[in-house]
Amino acid sequence: MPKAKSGKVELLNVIKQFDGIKAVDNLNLTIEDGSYCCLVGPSGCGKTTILRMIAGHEFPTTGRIMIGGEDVTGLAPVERGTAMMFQNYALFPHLKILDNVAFHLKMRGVAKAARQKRAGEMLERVQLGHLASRLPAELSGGQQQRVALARSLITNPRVLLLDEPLSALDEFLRLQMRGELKQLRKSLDITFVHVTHTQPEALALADRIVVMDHGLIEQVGRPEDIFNFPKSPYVAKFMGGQNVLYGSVDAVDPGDQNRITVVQESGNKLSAGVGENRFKRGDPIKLSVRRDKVHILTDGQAESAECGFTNQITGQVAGIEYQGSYVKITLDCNGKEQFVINAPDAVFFKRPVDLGDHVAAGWPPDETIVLHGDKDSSSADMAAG
Amino acid sequence: MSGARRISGMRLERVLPYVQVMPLAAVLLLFLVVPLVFVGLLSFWEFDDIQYYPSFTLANYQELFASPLTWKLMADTITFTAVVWLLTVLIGFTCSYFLTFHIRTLRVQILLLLICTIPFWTSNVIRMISWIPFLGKQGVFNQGLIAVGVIDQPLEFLLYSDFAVIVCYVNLFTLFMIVPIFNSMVKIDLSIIEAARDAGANSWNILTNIIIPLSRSGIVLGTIFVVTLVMGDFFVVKIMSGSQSANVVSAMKNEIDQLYYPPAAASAMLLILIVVLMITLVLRIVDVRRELVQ
Repeated sequence: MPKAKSGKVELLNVIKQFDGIKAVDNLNLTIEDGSYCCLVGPSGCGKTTILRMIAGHEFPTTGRIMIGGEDVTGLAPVERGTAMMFQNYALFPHLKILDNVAFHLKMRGVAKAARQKRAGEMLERVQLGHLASRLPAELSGGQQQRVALARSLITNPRVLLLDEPLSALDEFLRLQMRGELKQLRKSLDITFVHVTHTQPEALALADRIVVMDHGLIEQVGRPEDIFNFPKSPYVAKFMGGQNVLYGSVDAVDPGDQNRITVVQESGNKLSAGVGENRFKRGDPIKLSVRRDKVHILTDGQAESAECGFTNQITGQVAGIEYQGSYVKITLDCNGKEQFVINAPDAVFFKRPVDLGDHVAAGWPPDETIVLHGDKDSSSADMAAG
Repeated sequence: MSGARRISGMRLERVLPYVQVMPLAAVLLLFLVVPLVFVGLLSFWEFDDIQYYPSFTLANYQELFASPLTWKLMADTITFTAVVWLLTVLIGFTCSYFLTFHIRTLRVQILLLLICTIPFWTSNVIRMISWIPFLGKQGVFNQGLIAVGVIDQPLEFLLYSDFAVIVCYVNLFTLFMIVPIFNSMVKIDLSIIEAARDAGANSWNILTNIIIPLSRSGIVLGTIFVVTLVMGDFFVVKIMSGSQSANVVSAMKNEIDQLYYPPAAASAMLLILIVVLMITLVLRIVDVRRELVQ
């Protein structure tokens, strides 16, 4: 089906203030037509406000919002070609499921028989045809969510806005609905904007992730880039899967300006490649390394450089959590920073460690990432879990 | 020993709920059911304009149904009720709507709702009488209009008229409409209204498709209050109409004053029947219990 209008969303210099407090601070963002964009961040970071401004339920204090190249800043929701799915689904409690879905058509003056027929077809599409005459309260959470989805899709939107769509579901349903959203995305040529505070959800669904904090965009990119190359300690901690290490530049390799040695507060030395950026001795620096790239070393490995795990850290085992396919080992390093290793279960059980053991962990220097951004946040620690 | 105790314990468990409802049941039985039964019995007693005797006769009812006055009074009562209901619903709904959707903070909402109750800090009689100096021939309203030059003769219909009766009813009973409607309206999740707007509803659509249906239980409860209050009143209609208008209860009051107890009992039974029918009808249309649980 050819699409009438482009679903490209642009926010230009958007500021939103609530009682003098900036919820969104001079934001510029382009979401390409037909893409699946996830806005992530801890609660209160402004992601829902952005979604509501795109939907037209909130208006920017200054700045413009464009959809498909048209300025929609002051328009009502219905004039924008957007449809929003609310966090608690916001189904009409007094209307049957069929009438909930048909509501938009009723508002457009479609005759009863015609709108009920189309709503019925939409319900069939989300596999709820048999519940058409029930009331929302008689449905399970997952079913209500599908009704909300059907109610949004019947408006034939060019942009579908999802506000924490999976947060009210239990783990099993959440994974199922995640799969269904992905399929839906494949079958519909529209733009998805999805707000979530759950990182795996964003990684699984999005082809573009926007990490936010305090009304500002911290990083935008493809999921694999955000996960592998976080810009700042904040993004690294929020997206999870990373260890952040603090230190200062100890030496720059005279032969290769790209290669530096970093000394941590403990005196521990690490090697890293800095890419374009240039550092000089004494500069503070933040590094990160993926949890699953780190290995627990035997004494022999720790001594020899041959195995390649020349970046090393030592600590006392403070936590061991079996996660099925891997084991999460938490090291206490100098009682300050925590360092997490995700070891494949087979590797762990071949040579297990115990709580309280002193161990050395290592990784190849090439796996070390230099974080350029300064933003660090303790709230992100908590959100990332 | 322990077996016996278990049996007596089980018995207690079964009896306890009945013991718990006993006080209320006793009050209702003594002060509602028994008097009603007496009134019912009395309506079948014989009456010869001077005295009444225990017996079983349908004469009181025959007279009641045969008299055109009965039907006129009933029609007047229902007209009063209908007009007052319409006005209180309109005012009550509007006030609740304002309180719910235009007042942002709970504190101010509660404050304004309390202000609505100020007239209730004094007795019904005082509130009613207060209208007299306002609406009277030399009253504040007439004097004001004359002073401004809108009229040169005082308006006569303001006091001691059906108009005065309705004004007074509306003043007395609107709060009984505001409170239940407000109560059901504040429970409406604002995201539902946003969802409706998202689906293309304008303000009028939202009012008719979302807010009114979701305020239904409040409207029904308020309706029950107002209907029973207006249909059971005799005092307002007597004072405010200057005894020119009457309704079923005020006529009944006259009969009682003249010690015509059996005819009064018969018309009481008729009134109860009609009110019960009306309430049943309303409850048939809206399942209040289901709406309250939601």
